[in-house]
Amino acid sequence: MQKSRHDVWVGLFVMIGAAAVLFLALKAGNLLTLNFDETYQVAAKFDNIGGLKPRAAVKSAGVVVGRVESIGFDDKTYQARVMLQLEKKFAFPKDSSAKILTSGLLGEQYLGLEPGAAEKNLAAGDTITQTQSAVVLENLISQFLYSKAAEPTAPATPAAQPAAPAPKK
Amino acid sequence: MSGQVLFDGVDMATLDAEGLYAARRCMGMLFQFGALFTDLSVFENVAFPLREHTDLSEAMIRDLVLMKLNAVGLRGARDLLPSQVSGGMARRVALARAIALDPDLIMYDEPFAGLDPISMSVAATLIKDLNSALGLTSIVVSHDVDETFLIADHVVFLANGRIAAQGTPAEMRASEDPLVRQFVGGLADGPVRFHYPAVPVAEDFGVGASR
Amino acid sequence: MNWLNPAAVGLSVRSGLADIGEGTRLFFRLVALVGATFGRMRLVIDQLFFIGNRSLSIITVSGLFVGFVLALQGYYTLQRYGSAEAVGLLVALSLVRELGPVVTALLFAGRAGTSLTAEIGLMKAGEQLAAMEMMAVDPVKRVLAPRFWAGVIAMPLLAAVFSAVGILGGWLVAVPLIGIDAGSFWSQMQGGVGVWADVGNGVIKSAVFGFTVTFIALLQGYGCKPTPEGVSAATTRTVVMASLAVLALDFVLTAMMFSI
Repeated sequence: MQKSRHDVWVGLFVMIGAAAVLFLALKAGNLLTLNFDETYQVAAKFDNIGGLKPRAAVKSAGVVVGRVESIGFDDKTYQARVMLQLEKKFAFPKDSSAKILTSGLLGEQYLGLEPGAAEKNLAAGDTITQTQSAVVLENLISQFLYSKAAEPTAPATPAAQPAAPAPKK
Repeated sequence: MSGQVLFDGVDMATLDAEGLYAARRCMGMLFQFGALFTDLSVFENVAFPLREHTDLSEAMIRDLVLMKLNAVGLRGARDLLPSQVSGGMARRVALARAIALDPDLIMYDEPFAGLDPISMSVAATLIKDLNSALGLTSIVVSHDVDETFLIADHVVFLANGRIAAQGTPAEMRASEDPLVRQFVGGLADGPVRFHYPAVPVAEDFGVGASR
Repeated sequence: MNWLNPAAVGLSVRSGLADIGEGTRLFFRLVALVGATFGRMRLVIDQLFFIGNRSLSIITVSGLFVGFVLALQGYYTLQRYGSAEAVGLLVALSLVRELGPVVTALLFAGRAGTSLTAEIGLMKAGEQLAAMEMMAVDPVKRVLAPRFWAGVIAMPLLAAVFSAVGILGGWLVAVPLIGIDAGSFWSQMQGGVGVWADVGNGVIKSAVFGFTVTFIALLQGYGCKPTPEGVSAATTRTVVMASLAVLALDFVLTAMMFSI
């Protein structure tokens, strides 16, 4: 192949482009936070997973310890069956509980693991039995309305209060 | 008019793209304004067919290119760009490029058009000398009767989509055919009419209408 | 063209279809020539210089200013919801997913696309392509294919440079100028930008745009009328068609990639 006098500049251009792609992947993206540690699989059953998605984080004490691998439906118990991949370097007691939490007020949902007190640890293939489902907004609202309707004096007090400050002026 | 175009015994109409390209490797063509590659120098232009079709070393290519440029008298202009050479010089470079692969046939498209008398005679001399020196066949398409008749062996007149006449230059000059006489003699009117077809003069200028 | 004349309408539809067919054939021919083209790297490298290196300055400057504006506009809107720290994430996602590939493609069409079209059109007008054919050299292989593949390689690189410079520009405005915390600027960004989902898809988009814009530029140049008016009409058509194609393809690709 003949030498071209543009070789140096084109080489520089390709290097700059590659550096830009690398910058985007490392600094802007999260390539370095991808870990390639070994994991073990654990299952958890929930009544309602809310907005939990595959690849969501599994956190304990706020630190990512694993990922949600897949979500399925068990039609024998009519519950959601979530498969988790936990990093091998973290061991949790057999009676740990799993909760579906939301990061921030309206953020993404993740799985929180709270350790229990058992002596034996979770092994690959085990199932977490203590689970708390996600908070569903509609249930919250209907709960609130039901409890409000159950209090007979509640509607009177808010109506009296605006009336009270007004005559004082 | 119908017939066959045979090159080296092969009918050109029956060739596919590959066959056509293979045949063209034995031909050279000189376009009317040179058709040099404007982004390459004179040297690179002449070296182009050599680089594309052969695997010769740089040293050999250099020697061949300089020989071809010498044949057309432009060896000293090797590093100029096509934008820096005159029209006549550009055509000579194109000629050097056309003979780069020593073809069997060269076709010239109006090689004398728009040249001054010196360049015209240079061009005619080059065509004739190359033809004899390299033993090739040259087809020259031209309107210039005098220069062409000086160098041609066989002349073919094309008019109205057919061959009007053919023969040696001497035969053409002596021809009685009115079309040939008009062309060779440069007569204004003859079988090729002076007036573009129009309505009769009387109609346009009202002559004889109000008599 | 007289719309009321059925013969004329039919003829123009038919010739339009023939043009599309010819264009498709040229596209597949260029794609099939990948092996032969990369066997002659010198041609590709020369073209990469003209298409890529020469576009770097406009891409970098545009990227910088787009990053500035994104950070500024993003900050004004986000601080109303108390989420000013997310401006880094906003700038990065907008650039990497959409603005990087699309704006680079539009700038590329305007700068490199028009120069390709004009160059090929003028080569055609000067009979250079015909001369090449008479020398038994296929102009598609020798002239078009290197330019095509150089454009395909250059586009993703340019888009990445645009996005990277834009993010740096956003940082410049957000952190030193506005005063947002540098740590949360980068950490929010890193938490929200997925390497394969966002950066990877952006690269795929810019590669597709590279194919499209370069091909349209070459097609217009190769098929234009060899006169000054023909070349000027072809360059205009390049910019218009390439821009529309990029925007339409952007919608299609975004729908394919980012639908959940």
